[in-house]
Amino acid sequence: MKPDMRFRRLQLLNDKIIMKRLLLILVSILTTSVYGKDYFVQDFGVYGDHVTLNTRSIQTAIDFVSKQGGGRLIFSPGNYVTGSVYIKANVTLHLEAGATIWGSTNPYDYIMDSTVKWKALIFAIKQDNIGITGAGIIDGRGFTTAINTLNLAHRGLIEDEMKYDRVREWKRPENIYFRECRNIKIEGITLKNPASWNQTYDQCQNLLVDNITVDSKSYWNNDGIDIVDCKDVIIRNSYFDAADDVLCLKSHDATKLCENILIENCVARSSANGLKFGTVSRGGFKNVTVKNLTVIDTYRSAITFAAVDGAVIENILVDGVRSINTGNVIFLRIGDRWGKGKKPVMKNITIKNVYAEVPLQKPDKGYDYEGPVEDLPRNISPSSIIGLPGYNIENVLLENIEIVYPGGSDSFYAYRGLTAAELDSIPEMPTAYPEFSQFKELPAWGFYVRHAKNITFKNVTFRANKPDYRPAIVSDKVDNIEFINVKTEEPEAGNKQQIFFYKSNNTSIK
Amino acid sequence: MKGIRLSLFIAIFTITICQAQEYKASLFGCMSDGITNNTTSIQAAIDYIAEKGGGKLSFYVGRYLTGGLVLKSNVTIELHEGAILVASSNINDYILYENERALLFGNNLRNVSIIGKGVIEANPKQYFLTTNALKGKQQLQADYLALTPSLLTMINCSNVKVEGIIFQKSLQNAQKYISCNQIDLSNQIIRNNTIENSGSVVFQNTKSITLKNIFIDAKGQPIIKDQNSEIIMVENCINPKGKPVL
Repeated sequence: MKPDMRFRRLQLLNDKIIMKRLLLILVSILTTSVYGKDYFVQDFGVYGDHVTLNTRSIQTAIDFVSKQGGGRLIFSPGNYVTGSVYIKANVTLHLEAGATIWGSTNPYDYIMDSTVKWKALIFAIKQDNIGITGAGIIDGRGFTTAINTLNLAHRGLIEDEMKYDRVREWKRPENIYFRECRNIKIEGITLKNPASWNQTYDQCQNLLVDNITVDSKSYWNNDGIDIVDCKDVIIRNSYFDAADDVLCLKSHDATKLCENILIENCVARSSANGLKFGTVSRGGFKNVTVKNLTVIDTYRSAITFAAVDGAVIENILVDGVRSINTGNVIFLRIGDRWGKGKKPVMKNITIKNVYAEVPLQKPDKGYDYEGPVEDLPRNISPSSIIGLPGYNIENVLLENIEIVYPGGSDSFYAYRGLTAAELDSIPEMPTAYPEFSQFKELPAWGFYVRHAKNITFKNVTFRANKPDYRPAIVSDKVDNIEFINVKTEEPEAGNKQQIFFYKSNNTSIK
Repeated sequence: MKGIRLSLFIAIFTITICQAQEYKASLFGCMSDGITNNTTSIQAAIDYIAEKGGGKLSFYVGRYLTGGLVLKSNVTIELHEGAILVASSNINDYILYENERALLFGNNLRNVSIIGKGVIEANPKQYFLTTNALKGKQQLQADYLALTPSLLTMINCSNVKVEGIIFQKSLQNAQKYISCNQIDLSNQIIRNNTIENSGSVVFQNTKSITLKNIFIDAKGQPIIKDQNSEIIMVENCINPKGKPVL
């Protein structure tokens, strides 16, 4: 069997195993959350008047419900202001339509949790069978809280280096931070305006996120959702609009990893990346399936997989992506940043059934907290797979993909030619923050591959709307690269060689 | 000998103080959200730093919306990579001085620097939409409305350095230097390609100009210079076709 066939069978098998397992989780989460009584917050001295600070009362209510054996704590329509609270075992916060939980704007109302060393509005640490459900809203009012925190730092009341003239992200509260919890249901709610990331699930197991809406662009580092070293996760039917990375899988612990994850039927809008593995990527990401993903008006890449801190990224299937008005489409990257000698791996990646349009203008223009103009000068960057010397990205299948580029690059503004000296001048940047734009000008307009092995492009079309001085594809130091039915369309291209090989072995174009 | 040493020490000390003192924009309440109008906060920062004998006002990544600002001697504005000064689209927000209107305005100054990999930009579409709407109201005079702001105008200034900045989407010419001396422009990207007939850099009666590594993509003439102006050095200043602009 050819290597890519073998690996495709493996992927199909994996996909089936993940699906079966995730179905089991779904059943277990749905059944555990059915029993239990309903309790109403107003019976515990909680006021929905948009004024009263309810922190202690809500905590009293949660503790009570948990002690009674669990149930739903119901927030009827109203405006509930609170600081940090902890969800306890078997408790679900249920926000009825018209109920909003407002984060306090006083930084002192938030707890810096001693386990996770981070601030949040709603914590859960080592609790099982918990959830937040209903059609209500959680609004962190993060902009005001972040600015208030910054002012405390200026007055010397909290210590902070103020990198980039903002307080570091762990000193600003997220809306949700769950750690080491099992059987979690997040359903129906709207999550708005955090001061930092939005919702983190860290070393959790059996997590279902269903039908949520995220509006997260009130301050810097406003992610959509962060899944950190979690097992058995389903995220589906949800809409995300975030200033920073949207569907973000991270691995903070070198001994843990994100495993068995299904993301389906989601829409992502971001001033950073749509689907992202990393940036913190110590342990790894295994058996992840992403289906029917739409990415719109996104500043950086629709898909970024980064193994820059020693992560193992393995058995990933992305099937069905519509990426419209995004700055880049695919960026797979191995780096060597904080790995401390742990070997980064990226292999067995299938990305298929993708239609994408890359614009000439800034794709996230007009959104709050637009992505920063940087890494200039460069013309429109190609999608890329970029490993490091000694760390190849392996077994990547790109199938049924069409990407439309604006073309029209200006070689006097930025230029990277095809001579050995020019191609070798592209820096390796092992310790740099991974972004598709980090290398500034790249020598291709469609796809650039470097330090990779067993790469297959099958039924792939690259279209440039205007002439570009670069070829469509550059393969640099790649072993076994295969192009099957790959089409390039570029006006006035004539007989231009669109696929350029440099120091690549075993190449084929069919 | 001792005296010389001491004075040398004092001189170095003073220079270091003046140059190294950095003030972050957020200290003055500047917001990087692209929505808050920061005009008074940034102006307060510039005035404060000038009063302290000079220093550097640093903007880090973000969009800082502002109206017109008056620059001061010995005050450096640094726009770090990703920091953008976004010019207001309201004509009333700009500094009006005789026949000039500008976002950043300097008059009779010494030692002014604007440095960094950041951006200074306007929003021509929105600006002209609002200004034309005002024209239609027939209250404000036509000549008040007709004077379109530049991004940077310096009059009677000497020892001015503008290094590394990206000027884009200017409403008219991006930079104007009138009766100035010792103007040092380098490593700039100027994308002034939205407004018809707008050039990029204008020199009037200005001496000792050096221009180095400037990429200009302009609809109008890239560099406009009158007979009384004197450029002493030009190096690698090109248009999108790679042709020298001078």
